Amino acid sequence: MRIPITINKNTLKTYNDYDTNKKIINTLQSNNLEEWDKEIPKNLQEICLETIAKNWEAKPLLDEIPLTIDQCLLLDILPTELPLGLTIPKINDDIYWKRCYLQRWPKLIPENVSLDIQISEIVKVNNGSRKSSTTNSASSQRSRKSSQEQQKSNKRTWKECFLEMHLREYLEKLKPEDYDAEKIKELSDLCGIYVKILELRELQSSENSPSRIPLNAIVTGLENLTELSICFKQTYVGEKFSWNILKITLQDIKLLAKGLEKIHLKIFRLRNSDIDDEKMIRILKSLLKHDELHTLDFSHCKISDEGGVALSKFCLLNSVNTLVLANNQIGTKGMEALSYVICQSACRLSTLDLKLNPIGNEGANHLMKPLTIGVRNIKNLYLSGCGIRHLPSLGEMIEHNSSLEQLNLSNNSLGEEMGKILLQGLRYNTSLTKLDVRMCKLLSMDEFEILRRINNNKLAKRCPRTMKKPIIIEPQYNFYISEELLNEIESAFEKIDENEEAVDEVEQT
Amino acid sequence: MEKDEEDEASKNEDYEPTVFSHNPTERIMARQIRIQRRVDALRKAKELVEAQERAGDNVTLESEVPKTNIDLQVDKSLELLEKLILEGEEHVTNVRVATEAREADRREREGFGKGKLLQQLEEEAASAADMFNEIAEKWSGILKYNDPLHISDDIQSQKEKCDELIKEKNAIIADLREKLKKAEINFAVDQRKQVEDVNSVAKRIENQIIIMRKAYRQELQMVEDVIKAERQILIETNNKKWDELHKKRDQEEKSNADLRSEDYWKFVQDMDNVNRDFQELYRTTTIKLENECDELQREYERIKRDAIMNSEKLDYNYQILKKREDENLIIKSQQKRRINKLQDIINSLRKKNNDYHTQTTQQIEKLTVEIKKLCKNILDIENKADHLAAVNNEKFKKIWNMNKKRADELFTRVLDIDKVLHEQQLGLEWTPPEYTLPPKMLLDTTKTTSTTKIKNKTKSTSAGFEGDLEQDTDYENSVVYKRTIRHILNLIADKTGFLIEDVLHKILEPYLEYERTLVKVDNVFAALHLKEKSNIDVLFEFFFPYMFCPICNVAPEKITGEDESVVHVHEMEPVNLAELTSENKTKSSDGGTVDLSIDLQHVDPSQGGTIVEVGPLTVTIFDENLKGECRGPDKSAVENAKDVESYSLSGDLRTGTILCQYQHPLMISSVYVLKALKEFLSKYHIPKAGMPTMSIRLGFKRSTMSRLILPGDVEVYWEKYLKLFPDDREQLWNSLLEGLKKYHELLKARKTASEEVVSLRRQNLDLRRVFANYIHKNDIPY
Repeated sequence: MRIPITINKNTLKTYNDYDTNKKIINTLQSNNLEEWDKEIPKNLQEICLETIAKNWEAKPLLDEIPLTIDQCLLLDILPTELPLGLTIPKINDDIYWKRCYLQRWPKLIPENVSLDIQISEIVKVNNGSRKSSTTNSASSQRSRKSSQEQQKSNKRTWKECFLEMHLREYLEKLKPEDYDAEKIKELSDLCGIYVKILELRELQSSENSPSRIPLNAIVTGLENLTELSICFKQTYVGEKFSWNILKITLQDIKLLAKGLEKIHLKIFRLRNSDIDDEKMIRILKSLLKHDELHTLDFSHCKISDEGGVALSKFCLLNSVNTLVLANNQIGTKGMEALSYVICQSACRLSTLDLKLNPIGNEGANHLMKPLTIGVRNIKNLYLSGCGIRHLPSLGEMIEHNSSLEQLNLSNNSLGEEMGKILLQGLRYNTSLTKLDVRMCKLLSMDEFEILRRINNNKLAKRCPRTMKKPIIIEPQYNFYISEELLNEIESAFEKIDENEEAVDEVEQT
Repeated sequence: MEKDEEDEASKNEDYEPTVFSHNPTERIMARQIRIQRRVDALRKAKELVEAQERAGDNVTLESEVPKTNIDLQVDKSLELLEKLILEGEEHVTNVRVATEAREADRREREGFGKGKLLQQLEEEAASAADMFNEIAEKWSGILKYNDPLHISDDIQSQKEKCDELIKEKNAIIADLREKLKKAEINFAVDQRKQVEDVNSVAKRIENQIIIMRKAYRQELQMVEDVIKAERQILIETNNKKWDELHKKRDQEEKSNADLRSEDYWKFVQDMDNVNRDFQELYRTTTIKLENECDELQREYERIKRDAIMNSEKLDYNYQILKKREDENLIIKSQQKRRINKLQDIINSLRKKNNDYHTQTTQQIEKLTVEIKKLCKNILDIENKADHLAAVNNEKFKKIWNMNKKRADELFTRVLDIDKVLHEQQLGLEWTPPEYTLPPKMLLDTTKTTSTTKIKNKTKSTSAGFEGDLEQDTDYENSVVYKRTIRHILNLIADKTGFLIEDVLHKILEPYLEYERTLVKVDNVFAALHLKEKSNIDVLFEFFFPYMFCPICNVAPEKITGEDESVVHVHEMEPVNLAELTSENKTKSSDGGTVDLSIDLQHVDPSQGGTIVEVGPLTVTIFDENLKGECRGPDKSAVENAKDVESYSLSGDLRTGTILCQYQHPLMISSVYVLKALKEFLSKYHIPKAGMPTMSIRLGFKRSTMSRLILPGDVEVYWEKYLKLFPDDREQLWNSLLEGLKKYHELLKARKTASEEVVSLRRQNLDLRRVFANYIHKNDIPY
């Protein structure tokens, strides 16, 4: 029996289970779902639809079919290898795209997608399209609207997923030698509306030069893009190893920055790549006008103090609230600049990840100051593997801060005394729900006690009646910063401009 | 010290934050805890009170909704699962932490090693550079040498040094290579470790998933078990309840059945009794009913008979009525037809009426236009007539004068001729005959009277009275007259209170009688518009007829026989007045009660007593008066001269009339005061404006002199001329005429004789001439 794809697999399973379990008891089996209709010839409706599906490439018919049930059936039997140029504007229903996706990437189930296809939705969409089935363009508009509706409900559609995956696969496999501007243009025109998330896990490099495919064209073409993740490395090297695989040219970064200026992102990730301060500042400059940007990720790069200063300036100008800088080389100076910026009201940072940065005790001390005097934005702070040692201001910070919820201090050799200090700080803290102190060389008893306190906080938070209000102290004094560093922060971007000009001049000469 | 204490305190498990601490956060915390405790205490107290209340109400309700086993189990499971998750997470993340720790270690180590290595390398580079420099410096020295042995030695030593340097470098390179190899091995180890880590992470995750799945399933199972157990318990309790209910039902059914059987037997007994009673009753009633049935049968027969009779009658009546109905129908149709006809007629009549109405309105308009035209014509004609009358009069006068002149002339000629005759023919001394030329005076007197008459007519009687009054001046001063006047004035002041304003009455109250009358009379006269003294005399004239002597009781006029015209007028008045009053009365009955008086009151002060406008009635009165007035003088126009004289006489008479024949002072009855006053006003105030009616117009005669003079008068006047010449003279003239005629004859005869002589002389002359012709001229003697 043909079972429509709209029926949930689990539902089907329960029915079948029911069959097998009760087989012995039930002598009369009326609910044989598998075999019962094998002898019955298909009805004319089905045959017609099959014919339509067979000749769909030559004559695409979907909105012209009046009955919703027939449309569903057609989408169910339509071959998945049809050219995208035909199917993208014509088909909007997830029934088809889910089949396409699962057939191509059966193991890669995307996140945030409704696995079940709601029949009511399909009916609604189809009714809408049927009403305006007189003109093709109108129906496509309507379908676009419906896709927007779905977008509102914060669930991605299968079509979007399919196209995103398709584009990602295409770009990841594309070698710079095979780059064809026209083809890229065509692809971006087709998928532009639907692609919202683009995650490039690798980029092929050409054999002789370290340059990658130019990203500006494709990035500009995707008008609805909100999330962009790039890694400029090649996952599988093969036999032809050269250092070029790991390097990124300034030209590539310039092209990417050019492309970024045209769109508006919410999330930008550039991870595990050969990004030094200059390259990062270039990208930051192009990201300045992205008003809705909230997550910025430069983990596993080569950003040092200068980059930290530039980032702090960027945080002042942009409303980014999550900053991931794991595994970089930001030191004391960069930390000081960031600490200063955290104090400013223009800064919206709530999450700061500084994992595996050589901050050292001094840098951590700088960071503790604004948190102690009551900066309320920061909620999550990751400081694992930062080389923090004996730091009494940490205990003070925990005692006075009322907004911090997660604090990761693992892999810092704090020493046994710090255990006491932390415990003392936790006496009055009610907001902290997670404090990671593994591998900190604390006494196991203290560690256990800290865990207990944190658990208490968590429990208190769960039942809001008995929850204690976090103690809030208004900021009483300003963060002191040296004049030089301030100037440096102010002129973080200009410097690069000058550099660029100088480079340009050199090139010209 | 404090810090130590604090630390000590913090070590204590029962330590609580104090409000007096130096730490601000601690203080805040302490306050919060305090508040929390207070709130808790309050809540507890409240709950206690509530619990007591409930106990008082004997209601066994639990203070909180009890958590069911399921909830408890779910909570427990959730807790357990969470713990598991936490543990799992830690378990999994431990790998990451470990790798990170390793990485940190490595970094530290490598950082340290790298620094050392770099230092070593730098030191080595420096020493190498020194050596190189040493070698390089030597080359220049070697170049200066000329001794080949020396040179070869030096070169040898240089070479050794170079070899040493190279060896050192090689050693370093080897060392670095070794390190590199080590690093590679390390890298490989790390890689392997990483793979292991990844594997272990994967394994752990898988394990975790399995554990979690198991845990979830277990918890689910537990929850299910709990639910089932609870369900079982619920079922049992419910079953128990049902069993109890069933038992109860059985018991009740049994008791019910007993009761019912008891009732049934009771009911059967009752039924028997009732049946018996009913049988008896039935019997008696059947007997009674049968009797009644017979009676009713009889009645029925009677009624049947009557009914047949009635039906026959009704049939007959019905027939009659049917016929009548038919007739009625016919009559109705006829009536209808007639009504229709009449309706048509009415309609036609209406139409006619409307037509006629419109016609008449049109005619009326036409006629009014015509009337207006005619009125204009009349006015024109009147004007013309006036003009013609004037012209005629003029002509008449001229002709009259001319004739008079001619007559006079003729008369003078006659006298002249007479004189000539006397003096020349008769030779007598001529004496003019005694004659008087008919005076022009005749014409003048008529003229004056007529003018006065005209004046009378136009200016109303007042002028006439004025003329009269001038003559009365001589008796005005008499004492009697004054008394009478005073009497009259007093009466007027009494009776004409309505002419005076109410306010004045109030003001006058305190004054003396005499002063009051004076003011009143003044006011009345002001109201009547009497201003001159002479007017009072006129007033007196009107009061005079009503005077009587209280002693003799006779009205003075009848004795005196006054001026007839006046009497005539006055005699007419009372009648009219009587009519008027009667009319007034009838009017007052209609509702306009004080019509006249009010009108008088209202009109008098403003218009000066033009009573003409009071109503149509008074107008007619005045018309008649006017006619009378006009008629009177017309009739007496011939005796005008006589009238004039009679007036002069009446002046003497009047002096006597103030007193009666026995010299008693005359009085006036108060009844007549108003009447007399009214008359006076009607006379005195002539309508000044207003269109004269047609009759007046027609009655108006343009009495010029020429028309007034009668033809008889004219004849008489002219006949006077005939008598002017004396008869004896005429006889003389006649006899003279005879004589002269005879003389004439004679003269005629003589004349003829003389004429014969003349002719004969001429014949003679002619003959002589002819004769002379034949004889000689000179021969012929004469």
